[in-house]
Amino acid sequence: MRCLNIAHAGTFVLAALVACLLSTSMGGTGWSVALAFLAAILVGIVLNLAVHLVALQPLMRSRIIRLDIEMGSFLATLGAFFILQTLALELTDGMAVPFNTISTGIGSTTVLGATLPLKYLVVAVAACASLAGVMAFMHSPRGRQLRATADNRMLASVLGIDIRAAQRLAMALAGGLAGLGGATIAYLYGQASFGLSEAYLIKSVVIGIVAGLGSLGGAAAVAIALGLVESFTTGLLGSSWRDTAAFIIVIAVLAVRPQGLFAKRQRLAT
Amino acid sequence: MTLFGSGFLITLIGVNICLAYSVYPTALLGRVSVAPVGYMAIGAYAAAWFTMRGMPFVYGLGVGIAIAAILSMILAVVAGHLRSHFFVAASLGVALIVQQLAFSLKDVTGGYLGLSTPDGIAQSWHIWIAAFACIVASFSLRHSSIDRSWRAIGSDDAIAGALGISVRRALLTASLSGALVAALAGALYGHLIAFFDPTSFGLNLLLLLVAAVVLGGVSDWYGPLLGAIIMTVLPELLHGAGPWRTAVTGMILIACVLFLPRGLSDSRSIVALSRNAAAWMRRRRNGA
Repeated sequence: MRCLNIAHAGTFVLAALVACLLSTSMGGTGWSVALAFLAAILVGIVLNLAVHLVALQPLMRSRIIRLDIEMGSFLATLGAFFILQTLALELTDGMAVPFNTISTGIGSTTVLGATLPLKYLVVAVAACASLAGVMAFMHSPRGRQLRATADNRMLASVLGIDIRAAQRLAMALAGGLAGLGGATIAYLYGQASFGLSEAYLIKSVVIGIVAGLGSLGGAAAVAIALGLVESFTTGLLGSSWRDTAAFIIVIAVLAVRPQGLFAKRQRLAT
Repeated sequence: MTLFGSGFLITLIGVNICLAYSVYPTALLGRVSVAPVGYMAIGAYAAAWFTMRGMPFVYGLGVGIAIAAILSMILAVVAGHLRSHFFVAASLGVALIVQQLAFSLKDVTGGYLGLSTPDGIAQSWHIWIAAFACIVASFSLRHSSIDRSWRAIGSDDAIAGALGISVRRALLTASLSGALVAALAGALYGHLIAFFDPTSFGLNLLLLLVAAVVLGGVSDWYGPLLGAIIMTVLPELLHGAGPWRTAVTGMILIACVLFLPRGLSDSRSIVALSRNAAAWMRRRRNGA
């Protein structure tokens, strides 16, 4: 949608917190974990649609707007992010909430000679499945409408695409994925706290800028690269240099190729 | 000195006015920057490093301003060709790098533990003199040739360049003056609150700054002044010092982007807003 949704990190963390609270209150059986994931996806969809309704849709329909849509969405969703963060803080009183997986009985396995907790496998499968799902969706008729809307809203509406529905769909899809990601992170770490939101705000801005907006494969590639860079700087220099390295990369990319490494060249006028 | 007592609120307004005015020069060029949050942290830490070792405050102030100036020039050179949200992202990078360094360089900054600065060095009126200087400077430079050429760059780099305005020089001057004001405000702020850690210069301050600049706008000299005063006082009035303060600031930011995209200092946008509101009410009445 040519929007940078800063509030995404807020959605992500609230979904993670809801997943934790649910799994804990239900005793941590296999079913409760599945339910927690589902609830997180639902929370993500609902919150993202709320952000869309309150901040982004009026922005795009506004007739007095003189900010360009990227800047406007950046600022409006920054405001929304802080509302969501306050909600997360109020929900948990700033405490970390555990994700209860005690009675799922998931052990460890051996992959290529290395012993891994089966948890990691679940997370990797979830990540690959969601990436594959989104890529497949983008080539379905609905997905094509969505891409057309992102490319040129005016032209898309001339072609008979309901651009408002397409935008809502995009936000819902993003929200569902944020929810899934939040639940996965909570599941992986065994806990979540509202402080995650700042870390993931940084990550989402880094990936969005470095990959370029609207490039799915690019975002995935940059996400993996960012993970590697973070691990290497943590290993070589210590964990506190992690975000510094990430931001030096961001500024370098902005200086050389502001549209991002993987995005198509931006049109001058839209 | 109670932290959120009315006396401290007056000081806080002064600090925020300085901070808002440190964004004003680059915002005139069409490049809203959040890097002043980082410059403020640099000023605070540099000044504290000197005064805590018994050396004069001005030495630390000078060092802080120098480091902030160098950083702002790097940002202007590296990311100066960017505008709009790209420049915000680059300046966000600077602000967050400074915050991360404040966490990592524990010998200088105390890391997570923070620093306690010596009492009685900075007074509330110091910050008000700085704020007053910003107001006077922006007022007296309004409609000057500098102001006009910077606003020309703000509307279009290429056309301003064709008119013989040096975009590069304007960018450097604007960034430097912003960094100077922010580092000065930071040095005073660090001594006024007596204790600070890296989170004092984190996302919450950044939100306040962005909200103040968007609410006030930069269409006229009093924009940052209005924005800073409102954004400091309004959350206090609405919810005291509770956690909902941040949410209120966020709501105000959304409302500003939607209804007052050019800020309070732009009379045209207020006229447009009232006209739109009147049209909306008319539609409501007719529809009902």
